Amino acid sequence: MTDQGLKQFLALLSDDPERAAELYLVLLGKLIRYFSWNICPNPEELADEVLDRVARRVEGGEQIQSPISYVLGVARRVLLESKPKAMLLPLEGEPGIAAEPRDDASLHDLDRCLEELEPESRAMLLEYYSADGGDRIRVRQEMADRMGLSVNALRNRCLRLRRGLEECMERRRRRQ
Amino acid sequence: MNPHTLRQYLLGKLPPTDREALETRAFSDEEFDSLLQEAETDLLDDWARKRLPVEEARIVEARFSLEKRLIAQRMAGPARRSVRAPMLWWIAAAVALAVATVSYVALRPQQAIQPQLPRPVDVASIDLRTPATRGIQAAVYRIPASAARLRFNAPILPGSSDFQLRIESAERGLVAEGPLAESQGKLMREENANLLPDGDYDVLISGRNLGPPELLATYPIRIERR
Repeated sequence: MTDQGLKQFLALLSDDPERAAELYLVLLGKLIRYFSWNICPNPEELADEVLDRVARRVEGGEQIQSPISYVLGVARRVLLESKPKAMLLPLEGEPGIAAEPRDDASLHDLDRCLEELEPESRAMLLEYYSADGGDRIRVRQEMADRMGLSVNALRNRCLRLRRGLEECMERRRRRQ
Repeated sequence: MNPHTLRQYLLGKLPPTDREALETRAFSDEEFDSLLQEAETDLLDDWARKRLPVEEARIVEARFSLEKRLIAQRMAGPARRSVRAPMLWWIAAAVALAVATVSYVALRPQQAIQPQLPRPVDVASIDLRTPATRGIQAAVYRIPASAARLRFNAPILPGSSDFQLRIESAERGLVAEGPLAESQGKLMREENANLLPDGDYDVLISGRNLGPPELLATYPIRIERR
C-alpha cells in the first residue's frame, strides 16, 4: 500500500484524520474476525490484503460510495480466492506424534498476560465472565449498574480486555 | 437476530444467505458486531464449562484457537459470583469464605491466588500423510501412554466436502467413525484413545463430490504406546 493510497483511503473513511485512523483499525479488526470465523489459517494476512486492494483501487480513481460495504465485498472475493490455497496447505510438523507441545507454554503465557493487566481490569474481566447460562445477563447488568456504565460500554471494555489477552498470548508465542 | 442465530453462525451452521446477511450487518453495525463477539466468548465459555453437546464441543475445538480456548477455561474457572449480596446470610457466607481463603493462603503461601486452570486433556496428534498405495507399510505412531484422546489430522482433499472418518481394525472391524471438522486447512477429528489399543488400523476418509459419499483415501497406521 502506498502512502498516497492509504491517505486517500483514510480520507474516504472520515474527514477527521484521527477518526479515520480509528475507523481503519476497527475495519482491520472486523476483517480479521471475518476471516477467522470463516476458518482461514492466516486471517491477519488476508485482512491486510483486503485493505491493500481497496487502497490501490481508491488510488486508481475508483469511486466508492460506501467504503464499509466495498471492503466487505473485497473481503468476500479474497475469501473465495484463499480457499483453494488453504486446501492445499501442507500439514505442519513432522509425521508422527506431537502431544500438544504448546499447552504448557501457552498456559504460562496466559498467566503472564493476566498478570500484566491492571488488578482492577483483571477483576472486572473475571467477574464479567464468571456467570453461567441464565445468570449472565443479571450479573453483567449488576456490574454495569455498580460501575455507572451502560451494559454495551461494559461489554466493549471486557471484549477489548479479552482480545488484549489473546494478542498478548499471540505475541509471546511468536517470540518463542 | 437472536443469540441462537449468532451461535449457529459461529458454529458454521447458518445457510449461506443468512450468513452473508449477518456478516453485512456485523460490518455496518457496531453494536451488532460487539454482540457477535460476545456470542463468541459466551460460546467458548459454555464449551469450557462443558455445557455444549458433544458435536458442538468438537466444532469449537476445531474452529477456535488454543489461545481462545485457554482463556475461556481460565474465565470459567472455579465459580465466581457478583460481589453484591443483598441478603445478610450471603454476607455471613462471604465472611466465612474470606476467613477460609486467608487461612488457606497462609497455609499454602507458595501457590498463586488465582484460580487454577484445569489442564487440558492430554491429546496426541496423528497426522495422516501418506494414503495407501500398493506395498506401502503402515505408518507407526508412538503415542504417550497418558494420552486420553487421539486427534486425527488429514489434509483437505480438494473438490470434496462432508468428510467422514472411519477407523477399522482387521481383528475388530469398525472401531470408530464420525464427521471430520475443517479447520485451518486441515481435517480433524478426536477419538477416545481407549478405543484404539496398540495395533494396526486402517483410517478411511470419505467425502462427497457432487454425488453420493465415496472413499477418498485410506491410511494404514500402527499405534504403539510409549
